[in-house]
Amino acid sequence: MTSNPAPIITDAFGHPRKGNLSRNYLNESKGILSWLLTLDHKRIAILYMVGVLTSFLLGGIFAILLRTELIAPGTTLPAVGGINTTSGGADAVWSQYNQMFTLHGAVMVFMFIIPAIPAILGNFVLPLHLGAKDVAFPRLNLMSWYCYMIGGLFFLWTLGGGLFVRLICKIFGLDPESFGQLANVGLDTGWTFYTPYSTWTSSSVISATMGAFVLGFSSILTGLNFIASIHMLRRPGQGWTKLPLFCWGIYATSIIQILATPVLAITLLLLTAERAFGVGIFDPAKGGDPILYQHFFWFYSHPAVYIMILPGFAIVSELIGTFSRKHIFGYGFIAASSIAIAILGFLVWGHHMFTSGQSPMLSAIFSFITFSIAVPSGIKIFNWLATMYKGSIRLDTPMLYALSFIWLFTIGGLTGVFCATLSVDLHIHDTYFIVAHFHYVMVGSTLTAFLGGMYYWWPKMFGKMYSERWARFGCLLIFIGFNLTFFIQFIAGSQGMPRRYADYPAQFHIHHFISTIGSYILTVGLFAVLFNWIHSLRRGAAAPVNPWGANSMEWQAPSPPPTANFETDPIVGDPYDYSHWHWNEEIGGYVLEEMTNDEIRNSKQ
Amino acid sequence: MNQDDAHNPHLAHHFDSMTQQFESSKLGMWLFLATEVLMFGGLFMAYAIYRANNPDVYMFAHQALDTRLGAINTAVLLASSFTMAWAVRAAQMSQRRLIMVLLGLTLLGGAGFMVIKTVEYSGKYAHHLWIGPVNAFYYEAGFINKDTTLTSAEYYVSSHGSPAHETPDAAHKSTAHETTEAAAPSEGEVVLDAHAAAPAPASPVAAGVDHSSIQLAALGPTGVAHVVIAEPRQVGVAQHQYPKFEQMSSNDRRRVHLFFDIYYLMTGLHGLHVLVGMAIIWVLLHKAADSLTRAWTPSFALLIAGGYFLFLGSHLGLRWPLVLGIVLLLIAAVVGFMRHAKAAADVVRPGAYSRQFFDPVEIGGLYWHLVDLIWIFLFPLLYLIR
Repeated sequence: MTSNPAPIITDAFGHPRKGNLSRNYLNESKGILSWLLTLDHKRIAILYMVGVLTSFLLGGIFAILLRTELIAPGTTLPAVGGINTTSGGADAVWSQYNQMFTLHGAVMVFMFIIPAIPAILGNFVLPLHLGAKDVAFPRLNLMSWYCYMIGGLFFLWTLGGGLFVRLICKIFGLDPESFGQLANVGLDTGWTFYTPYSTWTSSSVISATMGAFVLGFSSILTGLNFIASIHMLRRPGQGWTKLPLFCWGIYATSIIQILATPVLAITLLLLTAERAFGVGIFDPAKGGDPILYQHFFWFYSHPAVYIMILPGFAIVSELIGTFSRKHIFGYGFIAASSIAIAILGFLVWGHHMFTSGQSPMLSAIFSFITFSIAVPSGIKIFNWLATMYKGSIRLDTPMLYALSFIWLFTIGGLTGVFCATLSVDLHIHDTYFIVAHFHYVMVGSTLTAFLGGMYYWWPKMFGKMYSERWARFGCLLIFIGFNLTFFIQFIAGSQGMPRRYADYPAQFHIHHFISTIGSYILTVGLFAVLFNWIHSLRRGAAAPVNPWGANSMEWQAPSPPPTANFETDPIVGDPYDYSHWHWNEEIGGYVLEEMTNDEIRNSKQ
Repeated sequence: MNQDDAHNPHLAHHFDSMTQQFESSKLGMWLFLATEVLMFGGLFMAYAIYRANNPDVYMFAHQALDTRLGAINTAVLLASSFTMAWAVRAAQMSQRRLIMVLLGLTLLGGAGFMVIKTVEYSGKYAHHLWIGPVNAFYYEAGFINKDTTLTSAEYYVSSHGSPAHETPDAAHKSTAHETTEAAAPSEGEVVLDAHAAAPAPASPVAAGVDHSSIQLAALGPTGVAHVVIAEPRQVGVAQHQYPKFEQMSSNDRRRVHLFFDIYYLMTGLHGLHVLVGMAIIWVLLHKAADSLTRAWTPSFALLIAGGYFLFLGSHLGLRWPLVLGIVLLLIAAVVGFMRHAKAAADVVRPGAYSRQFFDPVEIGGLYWHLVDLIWIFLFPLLYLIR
């Protein structure tokens, strides 16, 4: 598709566009304030992209430092794996390593994976999928971005705020102790903030919990906006069954964001109160119950896992249909299974606590419901496979990511069944098996789907094509690097390598060595993607209206769309009926047949 | 697009009709209320679990709460919810003056609630029944060689009998009472020896006396505490006995302070929501007001804040809130007259809400009703259930 040297700017029907062709949402108005105060969902998506990708880079740096430290037994990087003997407290030992994996987890979960797909692609694509001009509440949308940034500032304070306070103290000769918890540095609780350790550790817990609290608001507002948009802003004629599956996935995600995130909010507030006011609800020393914290935390954080993966399903459902040139198989089942996962996701939190001493009956019930989640997940996989069956599959970059997703998610999902099995879980609990499992689901699946979605909608977002060859190369590197990094961890974990350890016996050397090398390849792959994007922005060929021949409404808007999204009212049709789009060599993209709205609506697939 | 709606200045560009816009914002608010309910749900769950695990703790500690003040607050909040609902109705009927009056009353209701809450909180603070370590019943097991005992709690109970909810004034009065009546206990007064564990302080209660009228007097020099029953009233239902501190299990005794933690977190978070609701109602009032009245709405807010601080200063006997309150009132007057002069020079424009556009009033009202609703659950759970 990139071979086209001089594409003609046309509308969806292949007619040359009238009016000011160079005007789009990116250059509609200029200046930093026009971005910081924008109410346009597309610009907010770009703002989110900048923030989220920066967080990803930060979390990635932590990950690479961790893996490098683990490449050999003993201390490799003194800055990460050194034993801290200066402060002398029991919690000071290996404290840098503890902080590093905590920050890696917290930044990746709260600042990257949760907002990545809904806040970037959801914000950009969802209103276009509905044929709407914007989301239902544009100002709330901007506010959610500010919440995200403020949450990010809290996290930054966790990283270095205490150092800053200490520096000030040094300059003015003050005692850092008098600043209390403000002088605390870093975070070493694990991203789960488990009590009672998080109650008395001397790291900067309050700023991190308040950061996650504010980020939660960002998540809630985004979800609220999407649900209201999907309910109220669909185009006339676009019934619930004409929604692209992306919208269904985002809808299911939003339900979880709205119902689960407030529980995290109150949990973190209680934890903050523990540290700030000396409340003892979660502290056994004061008669409180630390297991209650775990219940509260996982009541949010297990559904949060589905906040991460459901948008991945949403994207892949779009990709598989489009690049198989075949109507998606089992539309209703894919849509309903998203909702089913959203509902079942609320009933399985106890499977994180099989070893916590909860009642065996409870564990058995949680185990059973967890197994049952495999059903809707399997429904999705089989429907995607059935869609591809006898389709005319085109291996463009987004499709490569989609196929990679199916592979990785199948591994991640099936190993989840191991973890849900009570007796097996007692053996693999808190080992690298768990680490590998959730990385397969979160990184392998969600990140892959996110990248696939980015490549899919990139021409629409920026109006530029990218180098297909480099994009495929990046995809391949990521796939190889990822599997190399994490598959070996299943083996290490099942042999007893515990997670979160800074050092390990020599028998695990080979596992960690391979894993670290894999993580380097993964890093190179991710940078290949980044450079590919930058190159596309600078040198990419202009994108046609519809490079893929997909039939959801965003492909009728110009690339990139103007601020009001559509120049003419888009035609509502079955989003997976590709029969009306025909390849046009001259334009380098697909062109829609001249049809009236009614004809499209009544046509058979 | 609906032609009538096309000219409505309140229609945002991405909506096709006012109905669509109204339905969207209402759906958005309901979704937000769902998040609020779940957020409080966490606290209610914590409450339920601790209550189920330590019923005696709750029985014992909730004596500290003043049912009378709680009931008044419930009435105040319910009344303000009524005026809010009426304000929505008034907006739908285009009764512009009535909207202002009702929103103003609602705002005053919220302020009244906060004032009473302040009385409750300050009374408890004076009795060392504050949150976390600032609580007589606070207990924390130490590491190896450090074990905090419950001395302060035992002292507290021996001197107060129970976590009573007296304000400092009331405590003073009952001490005075004691000096005059200690010699000869009169009718309606029970003497109990605090050193002897056996007679429960609530023994007259078992006979059907209402708790809310019992005031426990401070320990006298002879070690004899007087339970002064203001007006023994017979009530129809059988009353449960309150557990005595000395008779509770050691685990329970160490968890009394958790009740106060949960009480402050629940009511504190709710109070925060009241404040947010007041801010919302003020914005509604500001927009609902015609241009002349709108000159005074900032002053109205300052008046409420100033009045609150004056009350705070006089209640706690502190000077700085008094000064702050007076300053705020002065600013209110100055700002009001300046804005009035400016507005009076111009044509009077009507307020924003009418039959054509009342969405914000209705949506703000939904939020206020939620705040009310949460209190409706908090009040019986914390104050009434025994």
